[in-house]
Amino acid sequence: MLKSYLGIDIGSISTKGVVVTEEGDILASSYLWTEGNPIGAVKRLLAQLEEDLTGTEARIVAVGTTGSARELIGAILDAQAIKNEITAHAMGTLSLHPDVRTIFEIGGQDSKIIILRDGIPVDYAMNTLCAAGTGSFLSSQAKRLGIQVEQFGDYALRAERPTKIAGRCTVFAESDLVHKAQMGYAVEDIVAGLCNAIVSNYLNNVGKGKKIEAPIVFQGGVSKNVGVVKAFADATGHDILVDDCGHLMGALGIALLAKASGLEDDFDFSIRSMSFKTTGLECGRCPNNCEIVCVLRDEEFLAGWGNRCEVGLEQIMRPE
Amino acid sequence: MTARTRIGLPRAMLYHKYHVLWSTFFEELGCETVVSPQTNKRIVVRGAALAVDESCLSMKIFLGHVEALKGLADHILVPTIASEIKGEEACVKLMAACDIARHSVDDISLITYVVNERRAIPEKREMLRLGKMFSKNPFKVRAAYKKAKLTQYAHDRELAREQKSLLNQPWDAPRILLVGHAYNNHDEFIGMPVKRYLESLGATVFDSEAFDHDLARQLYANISTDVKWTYNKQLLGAVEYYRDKVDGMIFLVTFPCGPDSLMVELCQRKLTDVPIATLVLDELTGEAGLRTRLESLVDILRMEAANKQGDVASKESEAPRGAA
Repeated sequence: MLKSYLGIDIGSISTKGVVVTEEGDILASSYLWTEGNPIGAVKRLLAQLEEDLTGTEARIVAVGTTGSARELIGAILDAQAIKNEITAHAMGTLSLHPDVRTIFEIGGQDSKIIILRDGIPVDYAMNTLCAAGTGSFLSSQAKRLGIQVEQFGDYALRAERPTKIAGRCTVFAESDLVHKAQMGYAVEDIVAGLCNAIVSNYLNNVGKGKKIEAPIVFQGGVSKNVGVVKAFADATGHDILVDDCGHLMGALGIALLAKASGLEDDFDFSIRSMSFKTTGLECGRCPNNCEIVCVLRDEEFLAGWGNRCEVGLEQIMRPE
Repeated sequence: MTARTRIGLPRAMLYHKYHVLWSTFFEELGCETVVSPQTNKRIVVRGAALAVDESCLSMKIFLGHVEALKGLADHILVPTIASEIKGEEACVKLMAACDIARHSVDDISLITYVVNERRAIPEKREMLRLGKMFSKNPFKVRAAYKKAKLTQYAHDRELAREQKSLLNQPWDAPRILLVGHAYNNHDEFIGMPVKRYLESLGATVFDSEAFDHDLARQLYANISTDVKWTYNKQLLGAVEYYRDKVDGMIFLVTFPCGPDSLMVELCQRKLTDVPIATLVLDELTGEAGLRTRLESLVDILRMEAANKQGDVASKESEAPRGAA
């Protein structure tokens, strides 16, 4: 038998899963779209992982969840570790790059920077209210220019004279972009300008006041865009490391945290065939009127959250 | 004998600083005090509807509390605090609070007392004047004020003493100073959920408000002498005192607070020896984003503490489960 640990990172756009050994080697991994249905995505993810693991000795003894749906999936899988994505990303990246000092991460809806010194995270920042410069912004701009978002990087690298685009705000960037296109700038130059705008927006907002030191690791969906990678390298003057498995760092980190929790319980893939349902309800027992989300496993109450106090939840768990 | 006069105290803004003073004062004068309920969603929503858009969240909540007292009190107390100490100021919102309430909420009777030391209008004179509305006996009013002041003073001292005793406990959990005005730190909608969540993560939370204000006034100048707001000086004093006694600080600010935005920027530049996180809250704040930020902050402080001890093993044996 081979003890192994499952880590799942359920983000707004994509869901990632890895199974690692006690030494931290990746046995199986999977990456698919969340499509607004985290439970369905995790079921598909588990199916793929189970298939990859058939025939091996691996047996999963602990599960960890991270990402914005960590509580929901953590409750369903009875996870040993439920942690925020910042800690998970830092731990995952440290296992591959023990000397990393800066992590850039640009995902589908948010962007983060994590500063590490001597192998521990010491500072972080996340984007505030605005999603300018994240993956969803890029894909909507790609649509406007009539090119695939996957080709963005190649277009940017072909640019000879990147044009200036105001990256401060999605709305302004978009009108700026339309204006530049109408002026007759080549698509390549506009795309490269957009990549530069994302980078300067990131460094001025998320990275404001942070001491950015090499080695720098760049992660998240946008790290697959070579145009943005090059723009980061130009702006910081350092090499930017992008791992092939950079998108799995959160999942890897939470798998390692599940292992570090010291708790063990045999994980059964048959959880996949159970039916899970979520219902939202308004408590209505006080003026706060909390929206409580409940997860039901085979019609039975499993977990609930969203409540500011215990009253509503107790009522649901022990209905009169 | 008529029923006792009911004095309404909105549970917002300076209530969190002076509630002992006010309730003692009016009860000594034979009045009944009625306090609005803990801030809840309805109060926040009503307050936001009553206030102008540019108001800070704390002020919006305040108006919600004033309205919540409608019909429950004969008079509602909203002080007009312009300057408590000569040469210093309070936030303009506190100076204007009574007028804002008067023009935002209909059918209420407001009473106020003015404190403006810059124009030589002291609290004592004004509160005695206010007290004469409820008692013809000047000696009784004086005695009520004296008792109210002493009770408030004893209350503040007790809070500070309790918090100080936390420092004597073993330093085995992350210690975090929550830096914010009393009306933010102690509000059920703003600061209390943050405090409870941090405690559920195992952190020990210190409150910038439960601190000796006289000591704060001696200490703030080590950070800056250029802050003119009295209450921000008190906060800076607490920051200075705790900077080597906690693992990290969280600045709790309501959007768009002017005085606090300057104080936060000042501290971020000048305090390089202690980790600082800033939370800016408005009425739309989502809890998920808040939890991600607070949880990762506590994680970082834990790992750093473990690293300092040179004990790498404990770095990984942290709380096994995240938020329950």
